[in-house]
Amino acid sequence: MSTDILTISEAAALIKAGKLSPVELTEMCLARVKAFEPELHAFVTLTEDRARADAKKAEAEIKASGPKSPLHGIPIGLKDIIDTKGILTTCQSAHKLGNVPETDATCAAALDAAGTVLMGKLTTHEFADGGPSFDLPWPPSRNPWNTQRFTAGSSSGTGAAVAAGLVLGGLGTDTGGSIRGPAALCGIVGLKATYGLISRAGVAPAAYSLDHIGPMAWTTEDCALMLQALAGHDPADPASANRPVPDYTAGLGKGAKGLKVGVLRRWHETDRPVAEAVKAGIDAAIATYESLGAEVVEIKLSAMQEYNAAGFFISTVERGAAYERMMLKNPEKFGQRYRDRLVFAALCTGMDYVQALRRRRELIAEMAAAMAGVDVLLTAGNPDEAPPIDQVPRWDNLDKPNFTMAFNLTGMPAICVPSGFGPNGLPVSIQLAARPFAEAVLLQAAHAFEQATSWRNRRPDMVGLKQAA
Amino acid sequence: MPTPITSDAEMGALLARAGFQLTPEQIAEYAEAYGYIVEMSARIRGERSYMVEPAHVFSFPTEEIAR
Repeated sequence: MSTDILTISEAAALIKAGKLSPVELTEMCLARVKAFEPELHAFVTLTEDRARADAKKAEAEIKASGPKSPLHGIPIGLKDIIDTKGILTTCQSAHKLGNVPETDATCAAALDAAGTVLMGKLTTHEFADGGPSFDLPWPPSRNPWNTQRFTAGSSSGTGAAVAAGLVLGGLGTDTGGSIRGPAALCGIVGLKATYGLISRAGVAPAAYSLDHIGPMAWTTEDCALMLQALAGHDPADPASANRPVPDYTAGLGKGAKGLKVGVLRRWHETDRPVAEAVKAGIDAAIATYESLGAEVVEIKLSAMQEYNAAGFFISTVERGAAYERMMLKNPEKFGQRYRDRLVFAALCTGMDYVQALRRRRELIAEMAAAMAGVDVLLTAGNPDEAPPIDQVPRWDNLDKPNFTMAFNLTGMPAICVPSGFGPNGLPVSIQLAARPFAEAVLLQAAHAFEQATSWRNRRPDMVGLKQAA
Repeated sequence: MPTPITSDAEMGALLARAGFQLTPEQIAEYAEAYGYIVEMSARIRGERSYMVEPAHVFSFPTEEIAR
């Protein structure tokens, strides 16, 4: 890596070798928070004292018996819909202004057990949907590549904080693209794990059957390291999968030789034509995989709109059911954009919901058949560079399909990896998806692409780092 | 399948059924969004047999049956 900000794996190696202390690393991150947070608004709550205490504890533990995991002593942040014991958890909503959970969410506890340093709670869209909003108790996060631009959401603070090096990794949640959207627009890597692989217990719901948790970090390897700590069965989550957890780093460095990559041209050429830079990224990914010895084949699926329509009804109605009582009792406490989403639920019928679930079963079967012959599927991550933050349409989840919802609907793992920059100097991204629970091969394929390109060598200009190639 | 709303009164009735008390201006705004919802509702309704089941139909895990 040729930037001044360490990745998790780089920091872990230095910590293990005794060349870097978690205290020193945490102070570096805190210094960047002080410098850039006034512009980025990536944090709802900065837990500075907790971070310093965690770092000192990690330093002592590592001195005594070495690191217990590659995450030991690594500064991280959590999206603010994830419960943290004794720490304000707002869901970015006036409804939760004084909410201090008594227990950690399972995913927060898992990262704590791995020895991470908690830097704070990161900005989100209200209850993980509907932003950017300017009428909430906290401002929306800004994109470090250009603070007048949108981060996407809803894991917006995690995207911004990782890109600017305020934390080395963080957790996002993803109901229709809320990890992968910010990853794409902020130029980082975001992994939505298979439905049920990471516990949702203690995380505020957006839509029960579409909600996923996942790591967001600068590199694919860092996401693999975080996933290793997060994956596993949790009886507290009724959707939690009870299956063995493999070594997610096993395929890293093995390249792409022998892998079969499916390309879905229809989605980015016809269903939602993408910007030239995004298309160039996809074409470059195809060429890269071929040069690495992978076989690239064309895949055909239904229109992206089909997946989005089913996802819309399921997410809207499940969200409406979850927040109906709050909406009817105190609608004024919600921001306009989230209130819109809840009103949409009233415009959907019970039959819409069940028809969407029937369509979901058909689309899962269609996707499974298409994936039977390939290891990973390649699509665009986002249709364009980040738009201006004040020009995001009010009905943005209605009028155009996105590239991410299909994999919430099918529950498949999917990852966004940077694939270049557009004419405005902002990142663009590809998306890769794999069969359920095939995170290891997904990470292998993503890592192979990442290693063959130079996109990880450049950080946002605002961070004041040297630019490589 | 839902049909397009033809009056603000219809839209108001639909929202009131869900318990929402909205102003006429708000109701008019949501009528615009409703057009997209009608369009999507057509997409999820195909020529499928009544035998096609929804995705949330479930089976008991093996370990629960064994108990």
